[in-house]
Amino acid sequence: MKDQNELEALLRKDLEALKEAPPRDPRIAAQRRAQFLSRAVSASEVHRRKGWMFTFRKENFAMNLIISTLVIAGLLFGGGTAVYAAQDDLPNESLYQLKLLSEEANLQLQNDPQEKAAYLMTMAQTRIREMAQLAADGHPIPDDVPLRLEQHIQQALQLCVNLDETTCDQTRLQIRDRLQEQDRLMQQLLIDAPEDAQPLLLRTRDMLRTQLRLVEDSLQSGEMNQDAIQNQNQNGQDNEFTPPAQTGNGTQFNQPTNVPGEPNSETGNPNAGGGNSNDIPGGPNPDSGSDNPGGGNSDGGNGNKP
Amino acid sequence: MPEESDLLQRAFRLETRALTEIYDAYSPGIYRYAARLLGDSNLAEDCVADTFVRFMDALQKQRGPRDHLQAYLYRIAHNWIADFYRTQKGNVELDEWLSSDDRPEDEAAGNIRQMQLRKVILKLSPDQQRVIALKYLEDWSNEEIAHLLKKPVGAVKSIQHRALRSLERFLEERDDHEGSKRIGSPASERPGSA
Repeated sequence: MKDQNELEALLRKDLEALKEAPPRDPRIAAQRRAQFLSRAVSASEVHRRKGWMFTFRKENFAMNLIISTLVIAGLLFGGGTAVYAAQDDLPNESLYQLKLLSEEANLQLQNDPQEKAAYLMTMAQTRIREMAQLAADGHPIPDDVPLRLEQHIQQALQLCVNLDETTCDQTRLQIRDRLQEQDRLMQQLLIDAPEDAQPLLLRTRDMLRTQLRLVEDSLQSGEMNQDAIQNQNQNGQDNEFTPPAQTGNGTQFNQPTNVPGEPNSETGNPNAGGGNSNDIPGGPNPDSGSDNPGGGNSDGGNGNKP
Repeated sequence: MPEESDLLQRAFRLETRALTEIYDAYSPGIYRYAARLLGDSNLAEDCVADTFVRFMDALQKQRGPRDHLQAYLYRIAHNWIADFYRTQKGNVELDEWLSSDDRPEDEAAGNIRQMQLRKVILKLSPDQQRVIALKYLEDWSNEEIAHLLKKPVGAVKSIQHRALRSLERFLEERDDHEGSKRIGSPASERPGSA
């Protein structure tokens, strides 16, 4: 029987060959990162709102009544003013959440996808202005701001799903123009901003440029076709926010490519919490112990398994 | 990178900054690991994406790891890969492994050998798979693997030895098979020539 060293020597060549991992495409990596971060922002905001609602629910009826009365009175007599005042608030100020809520409400009021995309790009512009203002005031820029900026852009691109090809191209052109403008703003901001804000601003500028390149490429090559985005929607990524699933080569976010036996109708909504009874995310793996994440999800799970 | 426990606590509160830090810290390694075992960058990217989505799902349900985050993420990724191979049902798509190399047949044969080896690794017991993949593809030390598997170093060495013997048997069978093919088969039966 061979000893460990002999076995290792025998197998080393074969195993070494496996080490040659295919290189990562930086653009796809950046896109996937952006998609994950968009999810993270969405999840974070949902979590925050849930916490807020939970606080309210915990109070007894009397307290609820008092708060409700105060809120209604506030809305009746000063609500409009508060929302108006909140529009200039920065992320480190008290009414900022109100500003975000009002933006979201306005977004929901837009029915036309093209107008919605335009509004999203305006929201993106607002995020950049906030970053500029924070940097000018010498305040740190919270990470949420560039993440939201990225989310707005992704959402705007996602809207192409519901548009015919011509309108979609028009929308992409609009988005491209806004991105170019934002890139210029960011460039100026980088010149003016203090040194400690530079890394975050550089990352943001790189993100903007990545998105810009993607839009330009898609305009040139007709990539980012609607079918692929539509498929991703059908596969159900995230009800609250679904970033564009398209990678540079046509694969979909969170969806293994060419996996046989996987019904397309599976919802795959990772937030749906589809009956994963053992606390363990991931697909079935009968060989895995019960402490294995990714194992034992045979009862529905999140539908994203290969 | 901050203390893992602190990072995980913040991740449980779904703080975007913590989630970003975790993604940036671990996604390159997970990609590399997946790419080595899958041999395909698109699949590896899918694996990374799904690993982190599942991780975030767990966090949203207030589940997920309280410690050993890296081990947790690698386990999700590993199970994704194992599931992928299981759904492949032993089929090797030859076209996928052909490249535009000057000697496509040699290249394809090499790719198929790698693919077969990957599949054999994924047929080992779960602990053996992890030991082989982490030790020989990721260059982890026995101590690090012992930590991940929550087993003593001696047990890891034993698992490693058994896994190597299994792989050796595979290679012998493969070489026998290829030898008999070379002797008895025309060139048209070589892999990739169909």
